[in-house]
Amino acid sequence: MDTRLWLALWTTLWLGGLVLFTGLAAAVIWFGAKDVVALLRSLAAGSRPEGEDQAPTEQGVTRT
Amino acid sequence: LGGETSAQLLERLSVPTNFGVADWAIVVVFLVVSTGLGLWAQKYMKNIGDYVVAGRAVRSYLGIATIIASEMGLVTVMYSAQLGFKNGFSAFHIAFIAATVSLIVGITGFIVVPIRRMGVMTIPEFYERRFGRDVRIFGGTILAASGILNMGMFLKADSIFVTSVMGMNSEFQLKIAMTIMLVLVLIYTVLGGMVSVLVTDYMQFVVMAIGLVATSVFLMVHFSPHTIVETVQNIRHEGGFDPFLAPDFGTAYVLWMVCLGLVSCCVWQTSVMRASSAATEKVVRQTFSWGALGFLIRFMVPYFWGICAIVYIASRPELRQVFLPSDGSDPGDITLRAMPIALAGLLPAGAIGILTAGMFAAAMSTYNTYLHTWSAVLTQDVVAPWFPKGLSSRTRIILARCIMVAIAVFLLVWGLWYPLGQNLWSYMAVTGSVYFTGAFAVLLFGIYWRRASKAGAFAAFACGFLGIVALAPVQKWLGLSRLAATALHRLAEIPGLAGLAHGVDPATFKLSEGVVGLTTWGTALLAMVVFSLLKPDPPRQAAASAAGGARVEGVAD
Repeated sequence: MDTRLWLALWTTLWLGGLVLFTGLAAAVIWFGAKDVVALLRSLAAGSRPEGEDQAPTEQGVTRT
Repeated sequence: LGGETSAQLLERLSVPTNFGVADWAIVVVFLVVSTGLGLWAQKYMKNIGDYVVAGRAVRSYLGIATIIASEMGLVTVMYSAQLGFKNGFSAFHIAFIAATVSLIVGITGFIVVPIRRMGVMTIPEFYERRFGRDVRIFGGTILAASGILNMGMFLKADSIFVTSVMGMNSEFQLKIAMTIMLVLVLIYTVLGGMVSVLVTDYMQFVVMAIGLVATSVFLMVHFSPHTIVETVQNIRHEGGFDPFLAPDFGTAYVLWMVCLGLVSCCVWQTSVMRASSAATEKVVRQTFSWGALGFLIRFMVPYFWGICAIVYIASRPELRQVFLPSDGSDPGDITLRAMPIALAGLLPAGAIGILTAGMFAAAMSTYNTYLHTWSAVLTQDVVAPWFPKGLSSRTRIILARCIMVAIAVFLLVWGLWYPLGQNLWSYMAVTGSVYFTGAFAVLLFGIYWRRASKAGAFAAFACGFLGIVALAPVQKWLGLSRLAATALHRLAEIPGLAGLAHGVDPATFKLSEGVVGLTTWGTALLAMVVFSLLKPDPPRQAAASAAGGARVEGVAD
């Protein structure tokens, strides 16, 4: 494949990925802060917050 | 270089860094606040059971933050940046393949949906249910050995980042930094216990995400796209864009990356846990489809930083002679320092401190998780099954803590002693595949093939373990490279095969990681089939296994 085609593929992936990740990170930072507050409140009150639940998890292998 | 190695030359140079007093203050304050927050949040956890309850109360955005924070360690940034520095844009193919495979797994539900149906939480649990307890112990032992070996270079790589941004480039300073970091890791892990609770993971995500995006945007503004492309073209030529022409890659390597991408999605422990803990099969598919974005970014950002390091270093003659020798030779492990040195010289004071703090936190979170994980696997899946009456909870905790300290000491000794001799990514991939090559065969046939037997599972694990010969020092020690080169020359004597030995010099020839990886991959799959056919499980056991498998999927003969 021509070098220019490779470059076009990598540039598209890089810019597209960065934009999508920035959007995702912004949403996670904003809404995640509310989740942290809700979690601490629920633990302090001895109950779980309303909304989505996740099944219990064990400590697991992190892919790095 | 006048007889000097690149490392010796770098020690003599005064490498510029913008890391100053303000940055030191930022790093120290961040570490203190992060640890303090973790300890403060623990007052809400009355016992270990509460930790699990807290896990049940995690909402989706906080869940995403913790997944990304725990999946991206400093070592990821280091090995990816090294690949970007050495191979330019060609390295992007690994991120592209990982993301594509994750998307395909998400759409098809390959392996992960059957695992969700079976409801297992760990891979060794699957081994026991499908093949029996001894397969669980054998698989768990190889899993832990491979995982600890895989972790072996973490301390060195992370210390290289920290010392490089601080302008300390000597081997002695690296050793001191490794020792200090190990002590910090142990204090952090033992004092805090499960300090990486959700609050600190969230905080780490915020710092890390801002650091990743801001640094990338800064680099894109600082270097024009034209300068970056032109420099990569001049330094790395076509191999800087085309992975099939890059010196570190090639066709076999690219194909091996496809296999690794598949395994990362299906066989790695976090993936299995994510599949098992999802509320519905639809959620499993969505998680893996969206996970593609995570795979893409966690590799591409450091690749890009490594590429920018080429531009930074190419414009500085004193650094250029160290990292980009004019004779085209490979400067070796020292290329791990290229990205942090470039960032320390480019980012303004304050910004480099925030980035270092984020990376430091990412590293601590990774150590914490890994030390707990491998000590838990060894205790639960390897040692405990030997005691039919079981071990008390207290004994298990003491055992796990002893193993944790032993692993920490191993990290220091291995990091100081082991001669890497290949890209850090290749080391990670090879040590990882020692386990998951066999594990993939066992999972694949265990789920989809009724006749898969215990003998086949043992054979597949053993064949997967052979992948360890892809480690450069092991090849050298066993003399395999010379043996393979001689064999190729012998084969080339056969009419029609003369091309096989073209350019193969027995003195310098090295078996590529891709070739070894693909060979062991195929051998493990073949061994699983052949040994299952040669030595099927006894009828009673086969019926029990099939019952376990039948709950997984419509198992086919």
